[in-house]
Amino acid sequence: MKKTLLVLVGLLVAVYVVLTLVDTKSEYLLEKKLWRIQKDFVAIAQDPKAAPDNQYKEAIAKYRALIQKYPKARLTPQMYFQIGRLEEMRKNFDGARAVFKEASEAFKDNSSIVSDAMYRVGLSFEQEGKINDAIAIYREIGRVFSRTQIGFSMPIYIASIYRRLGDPVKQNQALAEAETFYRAILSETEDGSASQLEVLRALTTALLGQQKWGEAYQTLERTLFSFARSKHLRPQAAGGIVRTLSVVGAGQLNDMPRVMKTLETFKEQNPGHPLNAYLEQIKASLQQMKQEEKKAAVVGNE
Amino acid sequence: MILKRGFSVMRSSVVTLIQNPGILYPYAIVGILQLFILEILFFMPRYPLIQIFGPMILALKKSPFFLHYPFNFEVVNSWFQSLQVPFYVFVQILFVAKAVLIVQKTEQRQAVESMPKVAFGKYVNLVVGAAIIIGLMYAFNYGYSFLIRRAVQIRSTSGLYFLIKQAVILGGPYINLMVSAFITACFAYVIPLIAIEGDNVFKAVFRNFKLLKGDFFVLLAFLTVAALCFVPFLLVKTNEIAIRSMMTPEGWQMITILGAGLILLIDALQYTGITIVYLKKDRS
Repeated sequence: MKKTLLVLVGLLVAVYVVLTLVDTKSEYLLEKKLWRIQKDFVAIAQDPKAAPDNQYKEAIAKYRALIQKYPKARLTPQMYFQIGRLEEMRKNFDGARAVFKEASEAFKDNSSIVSDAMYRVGLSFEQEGKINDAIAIYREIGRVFSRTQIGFSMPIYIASIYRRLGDPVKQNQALAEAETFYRAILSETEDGSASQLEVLRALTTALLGQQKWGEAYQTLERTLFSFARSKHLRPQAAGGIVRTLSVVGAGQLNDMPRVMKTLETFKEQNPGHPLNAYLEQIKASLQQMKQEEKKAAVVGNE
Repeated sequence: MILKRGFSVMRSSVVTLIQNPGILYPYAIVGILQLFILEILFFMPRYPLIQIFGPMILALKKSPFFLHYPFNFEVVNSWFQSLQVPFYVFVQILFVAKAVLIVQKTEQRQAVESMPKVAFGKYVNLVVGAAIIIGLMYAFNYGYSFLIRRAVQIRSTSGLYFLIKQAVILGGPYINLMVSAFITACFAYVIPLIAIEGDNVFKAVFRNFKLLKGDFFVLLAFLTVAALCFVPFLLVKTNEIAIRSMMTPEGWQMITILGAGLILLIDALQYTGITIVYLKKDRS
């Protein structure tokens, strides 16, 4: 019996050793080490001012050691970014930007990482209060990396900065630039693709921001009709489009028949669509609104 | 009186296990097999096992997070827990029967040189017997989960209803433990009857109820006392969030392994005691 036990224990150990040695492809060990350093990061981030300089240095040194060991791993950009965040926390913005630039140099062939690193450079300028420098970087990202997720979102983000600053003239200017930007991309995207849906959404945001209600309505209508049966447009999101479309059409354009016609056409073109019941609800509430408006007008005349 | 006799069975069980550590060999094999399962689950997100298990994890957990550290431990624990039932019914029960046969030999002062063999027919009856016992325990657990769902809906923050809510939610693991001891007591002799006498499962259940007359409360007291050894682990489990935040995922994994070992030890204690009582009854 003892022999059987010993053999089984031996097998258990052997399987462990073999599976550990065979695993040369996964980044499990890196994930494990990174998780531990991440705990140091979280400890500092909880109260950056209270953390002594040594704590920062230790955490940065640990990240650096890991980067040296795994220079091209999937998680390496994240390590650079965490070092940058630590530098930002101790108000060393130049140091932070140097780290982000280092990351973009190390992964210069990966446009997604480079645009992310540049965006972080911009954010560090923002934190430092150098808004113009930040915007210059964001414009650069939008120009060079328009096809990355970050690059794509930059024009709208720039407009949101001006809104935050309370500068409507520059905000409108930025929105107009965003409109041009998204229209240019839209002409190049494939019909019915997920990226086309993204562009249409961004274009709608830019148009609504500029209060170009008619064009915004058209874009919303196009989105709804083009993606009615698409897997890319979830029912909840489609419901959101219908709501915005009704508000713009009935509220801003004051053209209720147009909204009714759009909803009717959608129903005719898409019989049995899950959204149809919701369209009926919208139609009913629009009609109720119309009647209430009439009553109010009558009362006003009296 | 009953409690005293229950403690007396406990003492006999502990003394027998100390004097005859060979009884623990089948349980040790079960422990190693469980460790082997944990080992495979632990290496699932790593090459080369990820090629087999990766798509399974993605399909069942619906998120790639569980392929990465430390979320992989969630899969390790939940899958290990899910495997416990089939493992007990199809594997562990065989080794429990072997341990029962070793207890019988040691009680008869016979030397135990090798692991007793269990014929296939006996094994099938053991599997059905274990399925009945485990099935009842899980049926209770399932029913209790409804009670918890109802208790969660109680909105009171004080008074009687609040106390009931707290008792149902916080007392859940302890109530389950007590009910498990009760169900084990109800079917205490089924496994020894199949393993020692070679009864088929239905005859064993019938004879079990007959034999339990007069012994039931003593066995219930003994099994409850043995089950209470698990309480420290339950205390750790009920404070899981606080304890986990103080340790690494591997550290928490070690606690889970210790818990599984403790359950095995309690099983050894319980079935040794039951077998001793059964053999004494048989002799008398």
